[in-house]
Amino acid sequence: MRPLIVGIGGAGGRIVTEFLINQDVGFSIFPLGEYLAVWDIKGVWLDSANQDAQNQTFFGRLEDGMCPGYIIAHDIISPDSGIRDYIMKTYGYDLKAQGYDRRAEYLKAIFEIFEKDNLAKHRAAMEFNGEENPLLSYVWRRGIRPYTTIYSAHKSEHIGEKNTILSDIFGRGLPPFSNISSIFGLSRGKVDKSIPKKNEKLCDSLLFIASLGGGTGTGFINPLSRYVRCEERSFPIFALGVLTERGLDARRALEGQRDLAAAIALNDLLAKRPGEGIDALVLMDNEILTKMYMGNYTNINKAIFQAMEPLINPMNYPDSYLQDDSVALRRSILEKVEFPPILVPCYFQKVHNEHGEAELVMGALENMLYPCDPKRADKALVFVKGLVDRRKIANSIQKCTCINAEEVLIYRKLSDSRKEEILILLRNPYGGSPGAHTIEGTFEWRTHQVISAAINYIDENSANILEFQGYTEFTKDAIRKYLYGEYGLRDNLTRCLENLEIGASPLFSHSLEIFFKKEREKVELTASSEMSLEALRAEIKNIVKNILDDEKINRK
Amino acid sequence: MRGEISLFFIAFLLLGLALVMHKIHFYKLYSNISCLIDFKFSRKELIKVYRRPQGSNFCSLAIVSWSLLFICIASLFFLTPEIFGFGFLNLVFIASNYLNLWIFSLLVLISTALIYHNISMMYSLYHIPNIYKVIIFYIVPPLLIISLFISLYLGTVYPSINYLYWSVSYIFMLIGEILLLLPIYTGAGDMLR
Repeated sequence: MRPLIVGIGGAGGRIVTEFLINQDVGFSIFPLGEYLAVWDIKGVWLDSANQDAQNQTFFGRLEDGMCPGYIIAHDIISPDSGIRDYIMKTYGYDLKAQGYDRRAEYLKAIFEIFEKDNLAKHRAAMEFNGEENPLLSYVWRRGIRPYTTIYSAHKSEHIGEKNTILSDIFGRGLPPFSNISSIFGLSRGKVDKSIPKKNEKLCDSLLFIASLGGGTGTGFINPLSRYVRCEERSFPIFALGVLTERGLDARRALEGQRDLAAAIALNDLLAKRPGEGIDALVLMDNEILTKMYMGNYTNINKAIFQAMEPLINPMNYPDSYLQDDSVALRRSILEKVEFPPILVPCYFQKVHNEHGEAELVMGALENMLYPCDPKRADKALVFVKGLVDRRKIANSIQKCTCINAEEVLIYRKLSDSRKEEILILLRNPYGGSPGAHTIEGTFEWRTHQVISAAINYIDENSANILEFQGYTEFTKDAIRKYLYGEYGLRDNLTRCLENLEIGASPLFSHSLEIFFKKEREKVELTASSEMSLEALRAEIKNIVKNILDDEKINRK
Repeated sequence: MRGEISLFFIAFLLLGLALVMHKIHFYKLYSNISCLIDFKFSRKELIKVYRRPQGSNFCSLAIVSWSLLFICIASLFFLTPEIFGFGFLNLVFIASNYLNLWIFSLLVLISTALIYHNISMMYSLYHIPNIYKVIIFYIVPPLLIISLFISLYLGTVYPSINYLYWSVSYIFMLIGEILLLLPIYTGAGDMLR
């Protein structure tokens, strides 16, 4: 597996830093050579707050050709942009807001506007050379796609600006070298030579890493994966979500507010069919990590990297070079499930000793990074490093989890030290046990806490949610319907709670959209009052024909 | 003189020890993995799996350092005929050329190219902690350059002999060699424990 690691938001950026630490040495004043992350993996940091980017030195601006690079999504929007003005006046959302301080619905709404508001789409298309969703298009085409196997070297990827001669010559359309010094490697020591050349290894999947606390990370994963899906239905996309700890966090945000964001994100990510969004969500609980590492976030980030390293480690056993091919892994993860599954990681490491497989498995299952009962899992993906016997590992897993033998997939990797490591990804370790939400340490118990806190927050903070500065009446009404309306988020979360209580699965079965109802009402009204069914059918046919005949769309 | 000859062999013994440890480590690893899988594979395949990128800067400096090390050893022991009874300066036609030291270095580089190339390739088979990389990048080349300059100085003042300078040069060379071999000693040593 060779994923492109995309850290989204502040926490995502800090975690991805651990993945991208330079393995090479060099002079900081006169840098030479290519940037080398562990296992030569690639990664980017996607954020929405320029101040966060300015307060760090690890990432450089991707647009300036830096590596590792960060990309600020709304950099593509100019301060006096027409579309920004339109959305501000119509909805009260600012496309250039610096961060989304624990408001998961903020980004969700912005991206829905670009998906649903035809006028906004039209205006955006006029302003950004035919791009109807400039923010996501910019992030995907400039920041992510060039590193993946789906990148086509001959397509021009620029939006909102014309290609420069330099970028045509040097960058195959990206990134635009802003000045001569960056071409010769004199720019801040981080010239982006990691943009793959013809024979270089491209990434075969995406791994989004974000905290589910309601900032940029929470807001971006779902729309971004949906946007990617418009282009690539089967490209493996995985997400690693870190649930924030209980109580007040470092930014003094209420637990309920963050849990509401997590609930929105979980609903959006898990209620889509495979091929419509992410393929799997690896879930970690910061509550566990905070206790383990005494609240030291640097160590927590290191621990997250360490836990995920067996997944990206390419040192497969000689008999199974292709075992962890991303597409195959995606297939295995999605087998026999209707919706993208939750994967709970369990990680353990120890020094090698003879017949230590059982100890390794037991250790991992005692170190779950999200509370759950392993016996409830329906599948286990086991990434194990070291000299271990496959059968012994499988037997130990079966003994501890009751998972069928054919549902235990073992990916053995070689270790470069005497250390043995194991990462067990337990698939959907919940359901089938009514009342499990009352038992401490179960998946249902922790998730019940999160959903309950989210519902409480919705109930007790309507003014805080709806009266956010700048929202127009139209937006307030849409959010009110989205949160409190019939079949709204509150209802959805209540059903989720019921599912948790009776041991049903999946937790979420349909995703919600903030501006959905308006559109549906509009269509229904048109159909009933102005046209007969036949006329409407003819009209739709006509629209579809026009779309298919459109030269621009065909070109795309 | 005998003491200096044994010092020469110590330098090569250190190198040999690293090579032996490396070979035993991979032999053991190969046999361990063979027991765990029902699949026949060659050692080359194992090495292919084990290879990892170490960084272009580090690799370049490692090759430079290794070539410097061999030039240092040759300059210390074979520039003058003092230790082994024969030396580069015996070859009057070349030694009297004003590019003699360049020719000498070039000859050493060519004759040891295979060795230092293979040794530096061995680095790609170990996880080298960043601290070792920093040491090899920043400390080893200056040590070896100092050692080389002292040796060249001793070569130019020959037949005059300065044992103190020679010893200093040798110590610098030996420290450089040990630091260069450290990733292999620790990597293979850890696995062999």
